[in-house]
Amino acid sequence: MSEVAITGFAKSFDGGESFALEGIDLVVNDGEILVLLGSSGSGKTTLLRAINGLIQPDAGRVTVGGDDIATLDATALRRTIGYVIQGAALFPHMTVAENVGIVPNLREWPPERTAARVDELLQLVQLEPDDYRDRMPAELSGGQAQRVGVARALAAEPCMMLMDEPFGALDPVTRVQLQDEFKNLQRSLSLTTVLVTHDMTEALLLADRIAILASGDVAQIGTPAEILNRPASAYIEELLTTPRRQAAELKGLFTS
Amino acid sequence: MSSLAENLRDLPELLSWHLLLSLCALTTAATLTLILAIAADRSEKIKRIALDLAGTVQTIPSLALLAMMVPLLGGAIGFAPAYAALTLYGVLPMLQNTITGLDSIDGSLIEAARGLGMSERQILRRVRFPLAFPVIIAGLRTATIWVVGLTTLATAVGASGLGTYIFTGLQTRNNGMMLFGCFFAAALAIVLDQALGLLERALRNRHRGAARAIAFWFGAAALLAVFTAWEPTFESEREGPAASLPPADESANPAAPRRPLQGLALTTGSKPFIESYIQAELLALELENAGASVDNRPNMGSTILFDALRSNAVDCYVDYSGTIWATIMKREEPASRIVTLLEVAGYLLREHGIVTVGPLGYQNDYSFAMRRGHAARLGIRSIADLTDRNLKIAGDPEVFGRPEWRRVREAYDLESLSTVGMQKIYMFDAVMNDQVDAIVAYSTDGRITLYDLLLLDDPKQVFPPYDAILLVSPQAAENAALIDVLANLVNRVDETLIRDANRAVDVDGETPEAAAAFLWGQLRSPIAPPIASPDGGE
Ligand SMILES: Nc1ncnc2c1ncn2[C@@H]1O[C@H](COP(=O)(O)OP(=O)(O)OP(=O)(O)O)[C@@H](O)[C@H]1O
Ligand SMILES: [Mg+2]
Repeated sequence: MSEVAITGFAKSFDGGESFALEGIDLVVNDGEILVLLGSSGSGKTTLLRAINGLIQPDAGRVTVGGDDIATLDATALRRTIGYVIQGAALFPHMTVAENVGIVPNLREWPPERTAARVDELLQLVQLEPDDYRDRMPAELSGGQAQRVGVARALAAEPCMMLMDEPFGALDPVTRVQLQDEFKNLQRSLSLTTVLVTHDMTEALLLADRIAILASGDVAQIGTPAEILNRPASAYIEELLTTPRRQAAELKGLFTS
Repeated sequence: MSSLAENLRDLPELLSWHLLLSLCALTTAATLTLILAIAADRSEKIKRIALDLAGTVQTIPSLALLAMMVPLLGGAIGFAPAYAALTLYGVLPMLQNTITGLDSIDGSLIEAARGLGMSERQILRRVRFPLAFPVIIAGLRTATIWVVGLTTLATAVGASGLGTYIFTGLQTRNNGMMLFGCFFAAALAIVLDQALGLLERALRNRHRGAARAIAFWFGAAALLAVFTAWEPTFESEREGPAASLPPADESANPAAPRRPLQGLALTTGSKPFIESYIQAELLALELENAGASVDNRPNMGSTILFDALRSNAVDCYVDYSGTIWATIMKREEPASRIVTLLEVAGYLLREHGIVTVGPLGYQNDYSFAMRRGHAARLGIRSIADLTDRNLKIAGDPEVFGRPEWRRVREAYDLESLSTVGMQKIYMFDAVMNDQVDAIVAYSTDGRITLYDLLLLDDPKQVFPPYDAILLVSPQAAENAALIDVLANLVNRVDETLIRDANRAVDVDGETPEAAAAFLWGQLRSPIAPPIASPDGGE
């Protein structure tokens, strides 16, 4: 049920005067990582929230596994879709372990299974369970909180992941490590993933396909190679300059 | 003198009732708040209506809200109306805080909860309530301080509590007693508030043990209060079965001719002023002497006491013919003493089934009183001399709201007088220190003779006569033996006697109980009661 199809999607936040997104057609294939890329305010989060029914489209429809999500039980659907919220949004009154255990809890897993799973995931996001399990979110750094957010989304063995800038606040080393860990996990489970970022380098490294959003529309969609080699517009060309320049500079540094 | 020891004697019972009343009102208010807050969360309309209603309740003066509950609850007095009013009062601070707390949760957290698959109910219970908890507890703490404070006023509707010390202490110039009541009311509020603060901290920091300990102490205190508060009742119930026959037959039982009311439990009450306390104690002495047990509810509001009698919540008390005439019968014109008495008695029986056993024998009229020297200087002898004068007159705040005052003002053209409302106990100091020119006093006040004040004539007879009359509720009046016993007091107390008794409390610091005992002793002596020495006291 993990294939997502978005057809003719439109969303307005001001009663139809202007559209944050309009006429979007997008497919997420089974087992792939689709990266949504775009500048701030381009509608990445909005599109992501349309997939788990947090916002209702003004036009068009969204299907998950072939079923129109409007016909599905929203809470049951969301418990099968891992959701990493932009900025972590951990519950400040719950410990790290309780935060990570929320969805297993909602799905009424036995407590021992939840506890074991929590430890496993904390390990995965490189937070020593014995050290972090009982901490409150206020006692975490921004990057640590973000990692707990990723663990929380993965906790109940979802069949699909929606990730809104999951690696934004991490130092480069941890970021790359986590990206690798996640990519391995995603590959081994062939976990269909929609990942939002505005970092082209991250998109190029992680994505099977990249969808670039600009002015409420999908400007280009394709594999990283396709985007790199055939940018569809001057704007996308510009998005590519930074990673290209970085790559060139780094190359120069290494060879000298 | 009523001493600390005497105050301490009543403390366990009064403190227990105070605590129980506050806790019951607060827990009910908290439950109501929870239900309202959940309902309000589902609909903006319910939210608006609930907040508006709670806000409106707050604008009603607390004493008025308490008084309103008596007729609303069919004339019930004591715990029930106080509980109802205090509960309503407690809802607003809690509801406001709960709704604000629930509404001010960071939207991204609610979004996160929804995105993880929580239902709206789960979001409310697992995210919004716990996050709003500190704000909700803050509301509960505010409500606790309000309610514990307001419970001191509950004595006005006949509920026991620390207010008894405060009102009685205030009226009998017993500052020690008043401060004693204030101290324990404040201490109770502080202790409860701090305990709630600790509970909140313990829950927030997940000290389950500490939270459980605090909850345990709350429960233990409440339980202890229940036992302490009810103990006197248990005692009287233990005595109850000792009475061999129901009271109605008791009078016909020649074996117990001197205790015709054996086993009968009666309720009387008083209004918050010295003479009324003495009257209630006098009734209690007479009734207890006849074998009845008497529950005395002091400091009740004037109309509340009347309503309670009418609805049989109080069995008997002493009121004044002029008060019934003006405030209950709403009669405008004054009449002679005997006509007033007869008409009042007829009206009470006809309209309310209340039986007037008879007058105690003295009048306690409203009178204008001035210092003699001051009056002579201004050339004032009667109320008529006050017409168009720029003078200041003090009286208790109730007086200036009464129809009698309106009539006197119109009859003598007193528009130019400026009025100052103050507690009766301060009026005399005010007139003696020339802070005011005259006061509206009561003719039986012990201080009139003490300060040798001049009572102004009322040539137009505008003030109705205020005979102290002994009233019995419709239900109690069916007991002929009770009427017989109370009749012993009819026409036995003259102005001199009551003035001495008043003065013993007001000036000499005796308790109303002691003054009533003195009075009762005078009545029981077969010889005509001797006039007590001007020093009063014993
Ligand atoms: N709940 C909302 N109400 C009104 N406008 C909204 C709402 N959510 C999003 N918008 C608007 O829709 C547009 C797209 O917002 P969205 O959050 O999807 O952007 P984004 O691409 O995720 O940006 P960022 O990279 O800054 O997170 C923005 O112009 C935003 O102001
Ligand atoms: Mg966003």
